Amino acid sequence: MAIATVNPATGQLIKSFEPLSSAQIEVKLEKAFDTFGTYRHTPFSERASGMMKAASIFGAGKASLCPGHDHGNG
Amino acid sequence: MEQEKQAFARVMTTEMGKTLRSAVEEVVKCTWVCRCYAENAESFLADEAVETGAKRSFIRYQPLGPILAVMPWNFLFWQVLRLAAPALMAGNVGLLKHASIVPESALLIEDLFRRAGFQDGSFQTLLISAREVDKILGDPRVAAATLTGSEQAGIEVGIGAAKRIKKVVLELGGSDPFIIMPSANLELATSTAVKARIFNNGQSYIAAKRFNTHESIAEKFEHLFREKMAALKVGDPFEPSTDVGPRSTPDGLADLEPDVRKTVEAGARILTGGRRLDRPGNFYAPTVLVNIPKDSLAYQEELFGPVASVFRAKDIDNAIRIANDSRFGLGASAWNSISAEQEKFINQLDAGMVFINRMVASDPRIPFGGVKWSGHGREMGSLGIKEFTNSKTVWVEQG
Repeated sequence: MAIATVNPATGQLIKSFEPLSSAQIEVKLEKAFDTFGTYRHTPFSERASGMMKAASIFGAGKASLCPGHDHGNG
Repeated sequence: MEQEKQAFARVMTTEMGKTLRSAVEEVVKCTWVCRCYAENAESFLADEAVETGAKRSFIRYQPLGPILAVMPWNFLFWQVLRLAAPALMAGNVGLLKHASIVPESALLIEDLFRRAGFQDGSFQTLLISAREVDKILGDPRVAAATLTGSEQAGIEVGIGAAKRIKKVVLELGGSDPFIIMPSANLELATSTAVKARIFNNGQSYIAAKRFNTHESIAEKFEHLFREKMAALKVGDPFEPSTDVGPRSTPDGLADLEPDVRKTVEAGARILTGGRRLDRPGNFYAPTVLVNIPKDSLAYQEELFGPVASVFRAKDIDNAIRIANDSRFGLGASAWNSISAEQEKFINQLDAGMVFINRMVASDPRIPFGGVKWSGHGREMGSLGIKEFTNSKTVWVEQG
């Protein structure tokens, strides 16, 4: 299957992407492996700080995260 | 903040057709899982003391390494984030092979973690075909894998992981029962039944798919349910008033049509819907089927679209038997107000998750996963973060 965004409401092709080459995959695998070597030693506080930043980028305020939150998602 | 949330949601709706309203809800839920693990990961993974008589003995949870995540298009942000947040908080790094129809979302998620300050390489998207997955899984630098998707994809990744003795978590299909007993609040149960079937345009593994009502209330339920399903607005997912958008791919629609047709040919009856809509896009009418024969597709398979299969049960034992008569075992929802009945449902339903008087829903605070052909392993909660750790046994004596 092509790697592409196709609007399912209209059938319109929005954008297609070339799959990564073997060399590009190799770079990503090596980067993942190298990163793990250092990232695994980061303290929880540093990871938590990044995760809270990710939450804020998503753009929802804390008030919206109530325990009764009931979306069926997945 | 609001602008960013809407921007993510618009990409999601454009790529797979979920309503913009539900896409915004999904973004909010992603925030929730990030916060949950930011706040709780350290306590979830704290050393766990075990009394043995040793000077010290305990379990220490340590990260495994790069985790390959093979993810589906239906909850295209949420399903990635519920893996990424615990995996990263545990000290792993992630490699995402997302569904081929949602590449822009995949790249946005990679970019999100970069912008959040994670080290370059902590979470990377691989725009690759499904054919490449086994090769990557076989790479010694990849420590483990997780897949949410079809049974076939799960089997392939499961075999790939087994060949290399690598940990794998599989979240596969579901054909969740939704049982309504006479003591239930029928109006609430019916309204929830509609929501539980059609959310995400009917394309969710935990959607209620088999509705199973006690025969004393079946006629009333079927009448109410048919009315509510027939009244749903199908159309442009960007329109705020739309309840049901398109199927995400033409193939998905092409699969659904014959499944319904063959079920009707086998003897089922259509109460409403049962057809694709005569308009551009992958639209299918919300559908209710009754009188479904045991050997039909609607009984045996997971219908991945806005199609509800309705059954009648003589009593609670019969309701449980029908519910369990499926190779799937993801979630189950049972509606009733008698505590002895509730206990029976909790104990006897073959499912990874049982919800009483509530639709099945994922929640970052509690584990999510199934049994039987719905997969193995758990996501979320304290169990989810431990899936991709080495539970290292430590025994220390006086030197």
